[in-house]
Amino acid sequence: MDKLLKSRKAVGFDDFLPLVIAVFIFLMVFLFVGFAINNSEKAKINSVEEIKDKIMMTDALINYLRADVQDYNLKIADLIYLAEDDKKYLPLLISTTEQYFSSLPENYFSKYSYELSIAGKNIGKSIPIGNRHCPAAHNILQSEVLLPSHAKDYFIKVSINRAYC
Amino acid sequence: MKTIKSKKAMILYYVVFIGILVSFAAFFISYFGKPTAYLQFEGAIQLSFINASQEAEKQMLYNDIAAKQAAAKTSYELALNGGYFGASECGQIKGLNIWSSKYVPDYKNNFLRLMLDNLDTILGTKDELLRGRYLLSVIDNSLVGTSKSSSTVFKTEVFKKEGSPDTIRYEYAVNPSFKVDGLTVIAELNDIKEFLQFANCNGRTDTTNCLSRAWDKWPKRESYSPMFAEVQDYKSEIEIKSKKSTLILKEGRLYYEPLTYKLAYSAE
Repeated sequence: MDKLLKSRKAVGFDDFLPLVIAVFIFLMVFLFVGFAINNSEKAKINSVEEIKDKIMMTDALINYLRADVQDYNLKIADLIYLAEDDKKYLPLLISTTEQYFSSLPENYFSKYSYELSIAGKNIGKSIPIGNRHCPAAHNILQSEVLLPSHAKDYFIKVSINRAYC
Repeated sequence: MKTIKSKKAMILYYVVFIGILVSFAAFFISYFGKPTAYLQFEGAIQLSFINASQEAEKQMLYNDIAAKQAAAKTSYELALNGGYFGASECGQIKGLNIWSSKYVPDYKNNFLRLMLDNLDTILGTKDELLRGRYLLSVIDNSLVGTSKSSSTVFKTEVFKKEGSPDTIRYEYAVNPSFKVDGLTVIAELNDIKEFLQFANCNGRTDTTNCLSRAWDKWPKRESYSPMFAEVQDYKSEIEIKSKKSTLILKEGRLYYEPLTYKLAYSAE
């Protein structure tokens, strides 16, 4: 090495250029492999976070459906059926839903954009919940509960959807 | 061979080329490919337990709702039938089941019989396992359904790898019981029975007058709106509407309104 450094002989351009290209290519290889490893770690963390979030969403969904409706002898799940059969209950359902989720602790639905969706034969409603709302949400994670229908031929699907903004 | 024996430093481009290919492949697979099985981390089994318990919770919620709707249908049908399951043993007047001092329906038992039929219909095909498996009882204003035999089992698998024999399975079992609160029909039929005893119109030809006069003195009259109509001597038509709203399932639609009880009264 010492001999090489002390050498006064110039490095020819035809030797220098391939050396630069090789160094550049190896750098790229290291970057790509590094990025790939990092990316797979991130994917793993995200998938764990997704499971955790889905558990939290399902928990919230079940508690929501079992919650009492103020001033009525009804649960929110009953109100969904009433709104499915008669649209006059829809404003009450929306206000009860908003009231229920706004009463949850502040950090409950704060990290991403969340919405509650109710889909039946006669009802289709999405209600934003939590603090972050974005119109162009993507990468949706869904937790859903199917409710039995007295009409037998369909279910009412109630879900909480989490999305990135 | 000449290249290998050469002492001059050089770059082996084919090695570089393979390296580039490998790194690109790693990048594209990690970026665009599906994430590898997430179950390979500490705490995965515990999370699977929570998942299974939530699946069970969903099933319990489904059963509770089905039971509530069946109770709403049963309440409506029983009120319309004057507390009877089908036709009364002592006959009908204008299609209304007769109550008298001798014939008072066992409405609590009739409610449970009708409820079992309605519950099976509403549980439908999704819960073939649960159909006809409940023991029902009415406690105060609640209906309680307990499973007759074994519990429902929710199976979950962890460490699932394609083609691997290392898959671990476990079972999460729950007893699919249910409870429907706020049942009004039994208490209200009790009130009607109590009113007819209070009126004590047995043997009176003008039953409608007798019932109307008794109504004005009955302590619980504020909770109901009555309608009495003369049918013939000794017999009256009675329609009593409650003032308390409850869930009613009629003709395939759910309503939140008071129950109306229809029956006939015989003073003979």
